[in-house]
Amino acid sequence: MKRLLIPGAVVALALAALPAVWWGRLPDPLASHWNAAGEPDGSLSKAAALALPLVIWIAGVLLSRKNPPIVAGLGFLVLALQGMTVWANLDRADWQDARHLPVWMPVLLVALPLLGGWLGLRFTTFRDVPSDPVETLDLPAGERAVWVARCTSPVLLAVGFLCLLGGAVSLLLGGSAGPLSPVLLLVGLLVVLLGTIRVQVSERGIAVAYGPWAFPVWRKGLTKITAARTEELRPSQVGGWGLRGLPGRATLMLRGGECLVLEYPNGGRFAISVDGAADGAALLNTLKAR
Amino acid sequence: MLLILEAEDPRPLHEQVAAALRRAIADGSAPERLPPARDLAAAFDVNPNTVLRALRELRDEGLLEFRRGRGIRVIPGADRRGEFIDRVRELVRDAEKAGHTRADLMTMIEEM
Repeated sequence: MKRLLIPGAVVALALAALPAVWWGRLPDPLASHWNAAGEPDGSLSKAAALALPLVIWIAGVLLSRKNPPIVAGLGFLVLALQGMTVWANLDRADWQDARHLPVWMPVLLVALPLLGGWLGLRFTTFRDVPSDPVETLDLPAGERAVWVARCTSPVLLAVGFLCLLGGAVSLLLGGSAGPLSPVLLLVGLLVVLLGTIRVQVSERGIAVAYGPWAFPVWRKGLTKITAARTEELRPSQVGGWGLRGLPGRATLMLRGGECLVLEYPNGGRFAISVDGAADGAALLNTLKAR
Repeated sequence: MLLILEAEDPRPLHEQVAAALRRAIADGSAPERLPPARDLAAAFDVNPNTVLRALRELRDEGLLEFRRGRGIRVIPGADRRGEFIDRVRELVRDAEKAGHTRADLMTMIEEM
């Protein structure tokens, strides 16, 4: 949290300073929304329109404080939005006369947060979690050990199969929902793949097989993992169910509770909700030490 | 579920796999529903038929039950039973090494 204090305050100050400097030259209410042609089509009271990015920023920092790339991307986004609002409304008597947005503006609003996210990913590490002493197993040399475990979310599986069923039915029957069927099928397939996983640890490293068909399989060699540990994680902490977060801070969340956390050499980590994660972590550490 | 194969075990592979499973059942680390045979085979890097043979062995010992469509389950209370079967196997192995046949062992037990 501490390391976000200074960048968080700098962005907040900038968000407050932008309208404060030009307060007298802005109309009330302000144009706050533009249509696809770039013409202003919605307004908000001056105070609300200028306070909104600040509120979003504070809430975002608090919610994503463990995820520097998200915070960096959000910072770029709110600064761009505030700058755009002030620029478009500057020296206009009425919000309807606000400047039209050029076509490259939406592109900028997408590109800037992505740039911020990339910078956050590139220049920060995720070392806010205190590393516990590494747990190992008492495994005599020469003994081979493997760990197999799984995790299933009946709710995700049910939702996924319902989507697949709905997609298939609307594809066959056509009708008004016809155009939606590819989307339903795709969403259903993704949810089903994330509804059940099988995890395997052996001297070849770790393998995670997705879905009821155990395909696709994700693998990571022992040399590419620094250490393994366990952590109690809930869906509310990682942003919901399924594959959550950015690479380097991702979580495979099927249910709240004990997760197997892989730590990477660059400071990133991958958390996998799986039953009996402590044995898996201990075996990974033991095999790695060999 | 943690499965451990003993070092330099002279027994056939399916017996080694069965022993590892028996150990996991005995120490309670095996989940009620076992992973599918092909997952176990992939983890051990052995043929799935070898694992199936081991699983059938454990079923015949009364540790597992096979349910069509619902996978392989550990029979409740199998952990205690597995522990004794493990000890009996060890006893049989030691006895055979010392030159006693199984029949000898049975007479010894019956005479107790």
